[in-house]
Amino acid sequence: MSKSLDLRHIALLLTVVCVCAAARSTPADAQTAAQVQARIDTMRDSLRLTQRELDVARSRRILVVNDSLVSEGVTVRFPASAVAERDRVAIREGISSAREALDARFGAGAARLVEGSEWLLGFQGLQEGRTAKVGFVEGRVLAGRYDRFARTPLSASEVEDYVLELAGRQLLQRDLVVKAFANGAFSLVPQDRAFYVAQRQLAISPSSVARRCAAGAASACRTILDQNAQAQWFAPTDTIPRNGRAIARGVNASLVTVAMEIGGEGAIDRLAEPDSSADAIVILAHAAGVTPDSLLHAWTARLQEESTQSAHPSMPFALSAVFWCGIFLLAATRRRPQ
Amino acid sequence: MFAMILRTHWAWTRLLVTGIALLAFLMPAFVWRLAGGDASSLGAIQLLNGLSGLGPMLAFLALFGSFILAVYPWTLDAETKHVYPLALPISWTRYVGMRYAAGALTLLVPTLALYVGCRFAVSLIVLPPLLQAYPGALAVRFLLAALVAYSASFALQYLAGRRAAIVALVIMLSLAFVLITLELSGAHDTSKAIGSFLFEWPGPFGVFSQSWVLIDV
Repeated sequence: MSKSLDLRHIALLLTVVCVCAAARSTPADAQTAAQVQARIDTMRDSLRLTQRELDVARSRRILVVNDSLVSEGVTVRFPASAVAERDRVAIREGISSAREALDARFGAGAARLVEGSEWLLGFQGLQEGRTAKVGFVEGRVLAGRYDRFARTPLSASEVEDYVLELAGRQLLQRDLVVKAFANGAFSLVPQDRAFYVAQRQLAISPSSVARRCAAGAASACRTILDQNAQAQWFAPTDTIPRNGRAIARGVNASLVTVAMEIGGEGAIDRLAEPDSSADAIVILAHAAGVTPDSLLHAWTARLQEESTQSAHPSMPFALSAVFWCGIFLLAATRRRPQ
Repeated sequence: MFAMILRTHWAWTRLLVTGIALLAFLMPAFVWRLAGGDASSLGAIQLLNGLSGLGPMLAFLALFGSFILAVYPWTLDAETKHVYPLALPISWTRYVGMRYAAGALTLLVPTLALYVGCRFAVSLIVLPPLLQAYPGALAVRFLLAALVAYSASFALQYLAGRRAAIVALVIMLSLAFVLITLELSGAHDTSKAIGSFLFEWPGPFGVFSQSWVLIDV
């Protein structure tokens, strides 16, 4: 049975092959020798091009980290063949402006957050005609793990943000309780309207405790910020969300930012002092050089102030609009109809 | 002289201004109705989300309303080949300045209507605790955006004349082409810088990229 079936298949296949061959050999499709040669040449060129692209891709896939530069105490390692001179300039500029920003914030202490750090630039997607992705990796090479991606050519602002991110991590590394409290959301990179967002999250939280905190009640803030007081986050009348969270992580991070701002230059050293408490708010208040209640009051006042400011157009904003109106009016008077 | 130009301007544009003012007055209450209407059933999040459409709608009205208010009087002047303004015993610059001021003053009407409309809409809403209404701030944003859009349209119209629409189209297409080319060529920073210059403070159209909120924390 199966043998006859196989034979039938072979016969069918042969018929199809014959029909195809007959169709190809019809005069309508006949090609001259020159046309065939031209086709072969085209295919050969295409093959050569593909081979060359493949070779380039292969050669670039294995990039040896064989160069480095040091700026402001930061060592950056990278494959020399992949980093152009303008990228090196961007790296230097980025590190330098990040250092300036940190110096302005923490004074001499900023050096401890930046100097001695070492990072590596890894490259992804390096192909002909495509923009490569640059991955920043802190410390030694970790296979395929990048902290942050940027596109080439590198920009100084990308590098600056990365240095500030690393400095933020270094800062939190000085106290693990605070690090856990910030829960990965703290960054020294200036965030657009971070305080407004924090206040908004508190004010529209399903937790009435969070809402009382948004209104300025320091005791409610202590409860809502305490990771060990989850049972008290929601009042019996509150609707508990599925994830069980009363506020987002960014709210905690905004408290760290305020504490560091109040603490100024001495905050870095005070944060590194041995803990006498396991309460992040107490440690942050110590780093800020104030009492916990003062810190919480300053924080809620800051959140409320920034929220109100965010809703109102500022004077520089209005003046800028008026300035542009003047420019447009000036332009309009330049042409007189004949 | 200015009173006369203002009177003429008002006579020409009063219907347009009234239409824009009416839209500005109705929009807050309309968006609130779309958001769910009944205040007692709206929580803080639903209220904020529901009213989030108001900002873009007002920005659109400020942009196109001002554009029409800038262009229409010019077309009426152009029909008589600008004989009237050229016959006036004042310089062209002064005339354009007065014409601009007259148009800019009429923008106060829709702004005022928006403010009243916002107050009216807010009076319909029972605000959840910690949320505040900002009718004045929203009206000021609207006025600033309308002024900038009016000034840009006014400048374009008085510079390009009858070819203003074509010039505007060419400018927009060129900008889009430059931005796309820069993006494709990998010059992301340059394209970002151009976008930031135009649409972020202190750029000319930065007012449009701000948050336009009637109710917020």
